[in-house]
Amino acid sequence: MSVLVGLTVQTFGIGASPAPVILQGQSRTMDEVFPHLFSIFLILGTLVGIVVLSYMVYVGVRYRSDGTTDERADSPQLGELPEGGGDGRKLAVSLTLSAIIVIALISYAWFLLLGVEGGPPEVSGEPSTDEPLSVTVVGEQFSWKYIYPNGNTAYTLRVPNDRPVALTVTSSDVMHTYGIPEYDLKTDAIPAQNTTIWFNPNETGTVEAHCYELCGTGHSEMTSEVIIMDGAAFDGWYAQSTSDATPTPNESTDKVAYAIDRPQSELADNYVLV
Amino acid sequence: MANTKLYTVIYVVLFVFATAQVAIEGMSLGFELAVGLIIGLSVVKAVLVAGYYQHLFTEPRSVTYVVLSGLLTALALTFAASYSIT
Amino acid sequence: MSDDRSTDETAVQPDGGHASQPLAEPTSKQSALRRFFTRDDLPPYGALRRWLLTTNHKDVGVLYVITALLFLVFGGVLALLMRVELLTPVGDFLSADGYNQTVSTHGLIMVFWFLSPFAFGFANYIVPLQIGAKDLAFPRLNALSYWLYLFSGILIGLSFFQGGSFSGGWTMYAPLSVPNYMPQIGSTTTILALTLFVISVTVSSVNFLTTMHRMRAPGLTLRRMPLFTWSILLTVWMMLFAFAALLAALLILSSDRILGTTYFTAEGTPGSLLWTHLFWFFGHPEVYIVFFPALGAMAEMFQTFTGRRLVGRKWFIVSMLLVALQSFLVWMHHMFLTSINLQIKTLFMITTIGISLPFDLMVFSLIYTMVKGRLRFTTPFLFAFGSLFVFIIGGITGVFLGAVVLDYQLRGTYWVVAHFHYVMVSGVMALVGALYYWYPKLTGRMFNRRLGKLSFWLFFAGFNLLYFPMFIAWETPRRVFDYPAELTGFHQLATVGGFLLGFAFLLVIWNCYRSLWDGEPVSSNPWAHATTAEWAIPSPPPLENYPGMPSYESGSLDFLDRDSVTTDGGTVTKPTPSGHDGHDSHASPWPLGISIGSFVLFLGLSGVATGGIYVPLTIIGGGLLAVTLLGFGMESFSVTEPAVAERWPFAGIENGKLGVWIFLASDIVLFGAFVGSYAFLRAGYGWQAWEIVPHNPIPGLINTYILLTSSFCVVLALVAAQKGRRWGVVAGLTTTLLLGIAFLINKGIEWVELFHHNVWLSTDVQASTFFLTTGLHGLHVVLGLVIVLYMIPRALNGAYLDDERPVEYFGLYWHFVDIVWLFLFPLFYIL
Repeated sequence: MSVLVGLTVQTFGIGASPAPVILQGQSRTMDEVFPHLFSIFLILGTLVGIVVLSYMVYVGVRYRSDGTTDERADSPQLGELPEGGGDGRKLAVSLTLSAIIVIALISYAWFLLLGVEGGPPEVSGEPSTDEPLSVTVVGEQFSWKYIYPNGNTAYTLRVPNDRPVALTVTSSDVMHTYGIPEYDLKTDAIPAQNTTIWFNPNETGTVEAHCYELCGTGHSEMTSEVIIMDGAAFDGWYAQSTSDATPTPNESTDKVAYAIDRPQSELADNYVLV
Repeated sequence: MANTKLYTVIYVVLFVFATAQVAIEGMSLGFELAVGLIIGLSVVKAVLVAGYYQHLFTEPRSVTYVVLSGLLTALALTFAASYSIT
Repeated sequence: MSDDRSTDETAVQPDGGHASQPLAEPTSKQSALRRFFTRDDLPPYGALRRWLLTTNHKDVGVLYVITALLFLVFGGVLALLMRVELLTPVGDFLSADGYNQTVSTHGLIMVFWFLSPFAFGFANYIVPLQIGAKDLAFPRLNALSYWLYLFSGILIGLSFFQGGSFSGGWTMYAPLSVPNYMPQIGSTTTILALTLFVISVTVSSVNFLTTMHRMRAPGLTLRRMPLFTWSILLTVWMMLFAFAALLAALLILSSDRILGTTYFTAEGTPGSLLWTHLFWFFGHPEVYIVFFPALGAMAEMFQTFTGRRLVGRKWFIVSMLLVALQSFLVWMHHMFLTSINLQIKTLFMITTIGISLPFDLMVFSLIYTMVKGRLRFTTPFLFAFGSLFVFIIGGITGVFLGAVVLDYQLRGTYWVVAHFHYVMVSGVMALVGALYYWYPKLTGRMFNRRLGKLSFWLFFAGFNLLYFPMFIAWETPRRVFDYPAELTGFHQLATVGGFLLGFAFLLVIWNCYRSLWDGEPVSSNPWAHATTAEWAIPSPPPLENYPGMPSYESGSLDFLDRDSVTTDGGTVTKPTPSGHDGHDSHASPWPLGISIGSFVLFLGLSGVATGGIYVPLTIIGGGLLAVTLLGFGMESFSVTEPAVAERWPFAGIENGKLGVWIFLASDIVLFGAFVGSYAFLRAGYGWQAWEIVPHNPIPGLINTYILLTSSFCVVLALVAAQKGRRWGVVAGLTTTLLLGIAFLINKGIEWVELFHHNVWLSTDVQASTFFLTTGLHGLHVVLGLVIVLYMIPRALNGAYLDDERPVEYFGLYWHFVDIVWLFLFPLFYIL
């Protein structure tokens, strides 16, 4: 129940980011859309479930046989040709009701989908800061390789917190699924195919990316760090970055490499993140 | 028997159509036109074989529906899958 | 003797000891082997021989149920291994590869080797009884289906001892499933085992469809069929087409693994997506294939134990029909996260929601049936009621996944795991109910009621304790043993639930086992208010089921004297072919033999690329298969078609021909999926950039001429047979044989030429599709020639002059092979 209450709070925007306004073809990130929609589905789903199941149990109890007078005039007889009972109207009404709920929910979800599928918003002016950072993500057994626009590669994703980030995801071997649960992001990494996702990193910090498609023995441990940096710090890092030589999904080695590479001032700036 | 005569005529038609398909390829028509004609000829040939050699024209229509539903299933897979490619 | 026999057996007491008449045992002078294969009469239940030789639908049904329960235990143990691993949020019990194998085989075993066969055990037993048939249309093929099923299961068990079983999940996503990433022979074995299983399913589908469409008691129109039978009918139609697509996928995968083709790995083509399309095109109908029989059984139990007729029965049937049709148009909702385009996503979102609404109707229909009823909460009804209860939860949580945006995030997590277990195991719950429901009919005894109810409550509690925490811990990625530590508690609860559920299953099995001896004997209809025909005959029913010919023409079930059947205009009358009331056969050693041959062959094929022991195994298996197939063909096995029956919509053709056509329809889907794969890969590659493999179309054209001519010859052979001209038949068939051989030689030369130019199966994707698709066609030609080779000596003896149907059936197949070539030729040689 407490989960539900929490979600209700979130849904109706109490103390959370404002609920998205529908029907305006505006771009939205998954972490705006998903919690909102999920809680609506969860609340309605729970309500419908409780109503239907309670009714079912009520009927079960109410019409329980007392074991005495089972036989009635209209009881089905052995060997009769099957026929239906009445009550077709009730059935139609119930179906219509459930159809309205389901179709309304799904249509609403579809409009939100358009916002997500639209990609990052085109922001007027200052393209230098607001143009999305595009990074290619390559899944390979069993690590995630990030390729930045300048051609550098890394095994930890570093992104700035002041502009959208667009990820193009693919795979160099088998099928994987790339997901950053913190930002409700997920997409398949398919050999010879590209899929795209995008998000607006906000708070600086470190989150984790996982693999969500069984891809071999290392599947369970196929994670990678996603470091959201202050915008300026990111620019400084990006200007001086070099490619990681080898896959270092291992956190500690990555930290060491980072510490060595970074100038002192920046290190201080970002130390808390790492 | 009339049947034998009919079967023979169909056989000749099939033979000619098969030759025509290769000929069309050689005629350097537009790619799409060629594809349309060649596949079209294959469809006609298939209908002839199924209709007369397999007697679908004289069997109960329901048998044809069974065959068509299999065909429809295969086409649904082929076209929807190919269309989904981005 | 059939009539005497059935009356005899009718008199047998339902004493659980079963009918053990003194049957004509072979004399002791015969050799042991000979005696073993002698099958003039069906041996008694107590004899092992009976169970190896029987073709009777009830025996086969029982075999299916028992075998499926064994696989349930196998799959269940695998599940518990996983649950033990998941007690802690780190990997500490199984190895990573071990865990992946466990996950994968658990899924495969439960979906393929437990759920469907369990349901089909009941279908085998009950459907002929409900429609008033003596047996299935092709009893030997039914036994063949069972044995292929059993041996395919043994094969997957063996895969664990070949360097490890398959470890890529039950969805078997490519290219993880190719040898580069999964080199173990055991993985190939698993795929081949599944292929063998699919063959079993296809044989079964043809058999059930023919039976249900053509052997219903007079008066039992399709609309009047009981709901369980309806659910099976629709299930089987879905199986026929869906499993053909899976067969294509498995054959391609086997080829990538064994022959080195590159469908799933080639550069520049969306091979990985191809697998997802083929798999889910099968995979979504499969969900309903697995669930429908449970739904049908639920409907039966709801009617019986509420004492009411199903509310909105007609709409219930319409709903199932809609679902069955639409199930082929929703598969891409399993692919929302792939690179498919937005229009397709929208379309498949709509079809997905569309398919959920009929289920709403069915659920409400079941609930309203209880209103004003007299509910008797017997063990079967408890299970049916509980099943509906959890199915509603499974359904609601499924709507979440239909909303694309939610699916984006829920996919690949335990939300999906919890959802489909709520649906699938709800089906299992209903089928366990069905087991209790029909147990008295199958055995003649009642199970222990108290133990039954206890097993339900344990089952229900274990189920929810196992799967509900998964919803709460939904953020756990699927198929990992390493999950966020804060979710540990939920996973531990689930593990406890898993063991409880496992215990409940054992209790069910124990109850069924003990009650064979301890149960009180029951009458023919132990559940009051059951209406369907199986309850009108003794428990267990006699060998040929009915004391007379069942008929509904008077408006309810009657048993007419078989000899004095008169018909009115509504049904088709046909004298039984042999002129007398047939002596039906009930036993054959060949289904078992063919299955053993296939088993050895497939085991050999799994490692044939590595040589060693596998090469002789392949050869022995192939030889055994050939011999047993020959034995099957030569055996005289008599089956009589009912003289009078409801046969809509296939009244105009006989069982055999309908069977051939239904099989061909599934073969159309098989080839369609191959051609579809080609089109898909080519579209992904760039249609016009794709280079045709053969250097020139002339060998292909010559082969077209050859096949067309051979088709013509088969037609002439049929005409000759109809006119009673023996030499015409022989000449027609012989020419066909020679032309077929010419076709293969021509193809062989063409292939050798290509190999000579260094074009191999593995060269590129163009070569892979060319060789494999035309190779599959070539295999069909070879099979056709084997049949012709078998027919020619018989034709010499004048075999087809009285009855030309075998020539006609062969023609149907051969012309089909011809038609396929009519499309392969332009696609692979010209365009």
